[in-house]
Amino acid sequence: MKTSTIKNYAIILLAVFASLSITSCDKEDDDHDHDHDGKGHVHVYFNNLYNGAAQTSTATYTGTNGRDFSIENNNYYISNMRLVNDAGVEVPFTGQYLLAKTGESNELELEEIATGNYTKIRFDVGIDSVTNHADPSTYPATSPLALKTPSMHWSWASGYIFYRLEGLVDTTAAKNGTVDTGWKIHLGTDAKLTSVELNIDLMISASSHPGITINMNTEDLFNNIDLGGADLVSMTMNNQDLANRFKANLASAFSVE
Amino acid sequence: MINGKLIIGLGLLLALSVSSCKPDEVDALDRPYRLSLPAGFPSMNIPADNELTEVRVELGKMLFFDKALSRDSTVSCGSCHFQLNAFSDVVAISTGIEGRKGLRNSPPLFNLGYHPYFFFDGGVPTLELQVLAPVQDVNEMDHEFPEAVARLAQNQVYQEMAQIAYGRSFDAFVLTRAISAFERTLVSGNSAYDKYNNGSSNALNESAKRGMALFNSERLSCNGCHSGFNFTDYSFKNNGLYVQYPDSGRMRVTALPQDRDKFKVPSLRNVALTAPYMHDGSFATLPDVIEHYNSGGAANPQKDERIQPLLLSNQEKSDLLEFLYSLTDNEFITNPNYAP
Repeated sequence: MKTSTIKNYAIILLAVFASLSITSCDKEDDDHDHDHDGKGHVHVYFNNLYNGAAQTSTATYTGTNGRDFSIENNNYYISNMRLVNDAGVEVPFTGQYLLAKTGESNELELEEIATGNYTKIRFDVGIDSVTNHADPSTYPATSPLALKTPSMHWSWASGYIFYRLEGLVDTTAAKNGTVDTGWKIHLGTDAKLTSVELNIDLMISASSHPGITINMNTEDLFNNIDLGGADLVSMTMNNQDLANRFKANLASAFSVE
Repeated sequence: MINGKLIIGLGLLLALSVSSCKPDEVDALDRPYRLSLPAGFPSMNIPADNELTEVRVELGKMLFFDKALSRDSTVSCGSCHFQLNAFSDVVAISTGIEGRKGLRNSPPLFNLGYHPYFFFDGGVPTLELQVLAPVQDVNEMDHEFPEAVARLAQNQVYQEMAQIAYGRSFDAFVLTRAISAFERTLVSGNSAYDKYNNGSSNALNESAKRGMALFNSERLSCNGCHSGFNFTDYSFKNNGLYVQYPDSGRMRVTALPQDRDKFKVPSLRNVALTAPYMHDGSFATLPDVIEHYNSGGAANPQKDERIQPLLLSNQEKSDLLEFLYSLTDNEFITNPNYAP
């Protein structure tokens, strides 16, 4: 091994130890009232709706195909958040992941943003390819990337489930409302990372802390999907066709409130 | 000289972080585990965050045999991986909790630290990640991983060992690392074949020697895939088991048509102990397996070109069988270090 290589490894190790000792021993300064000059921050919230009302796991919904169904889990990862200012400059917020779920506050805080007017918000549904194939057991249990119940990680084909949507559905020929058959769409794999762009009208100053609420209009996820009829299950790899139709819906299912 | 300073710096940082975050005495209780590798085996790549220590390996062994890992506490790793069978199961498809049947034949566990990926379809790249699968698989242990961790974390012995071994409370990291540490110690390389290879010319009888020559011959090309010290090149192949497979093999994890019906080439070490055979356990005995390869297999479009009728004589079949028997490592299956 070359000396320079050894030195590089040692420096990397040093850095790792330094970061470990900081994260494990120091209390994080959680005081956001002292933004630096010319910087502001914004809270972004995700809100799961169905036809304009809060989506719940106890409700029975009727699809456009006339079949009744329920939604037990409506969980997804948001990452790679970016804001675009009125000059078209994109401001990235790396390393921030959100696991959004029905009925939770689903809040991401974007900090240290230059003051000014922002006209677009961009994000990905899913996890970047490097993090996607990292080991989820290395994260603290509180991290959105840690192992979860229900699981957001495929143990048999190592990678995250970007979107976990599932429940029960009526599969009877008569469509008689018997909601008793499990359906699920688990979207994942690198190629299924889905980019979203939404228009916003956001003024960021050092004194105001605005919020953006982004709605997941869950009903839009079922366009061109015959839930309980021809379509019932996709774990992505076993049913790419359904996974692709779902992915196509995903990009346009979000809206700014 | 620069390196020396850096290393001293590292040591200081480590000492600081230890003294400020956890009691000084814990690390002193653990010692490096001395992994003895058989002659001719390459060194094993061990992840930097899971170097082998005695307490890590011991904790991993306890977890490997702990049924609390499964949702209803009826099944442990050891329930489908028996030491006497080179840590494989004796049935075609193993039984998980509540009598559920899995998808594929339980593989033997040895020399795992050399595997580039795991499972017949290669869907999992590391041993640590592999631990996640049987725990959560609905047909195996059917346990949400955070719930399995929470249950095991109530065990005070595990908590104390986690602190000593990894300097942290028992969590998902400790669970996956410790079981992997134990599994890396499952090293097998002391068969009659190995003894012969290392200079004991009497370790193999004449029939086994003829079988070995056949195995390595261009005509049979067994060693075209079952190559190297571990008798596998870890490639994915179709060996003509069926015309149509109920299990799409590697395609299950890649969704690529070229991967359809292909499965990882298994090691042949200890193969006499690991019946039944193939990814689905469809062959009961080794003579059945030899007969399959002798036949040239079924006409699957993905079938590897090496799978052709071999026209083996009865003597040749018997010699091949004798060679495969010589790959059995009796020390491995009776090693008390691996027993619960």
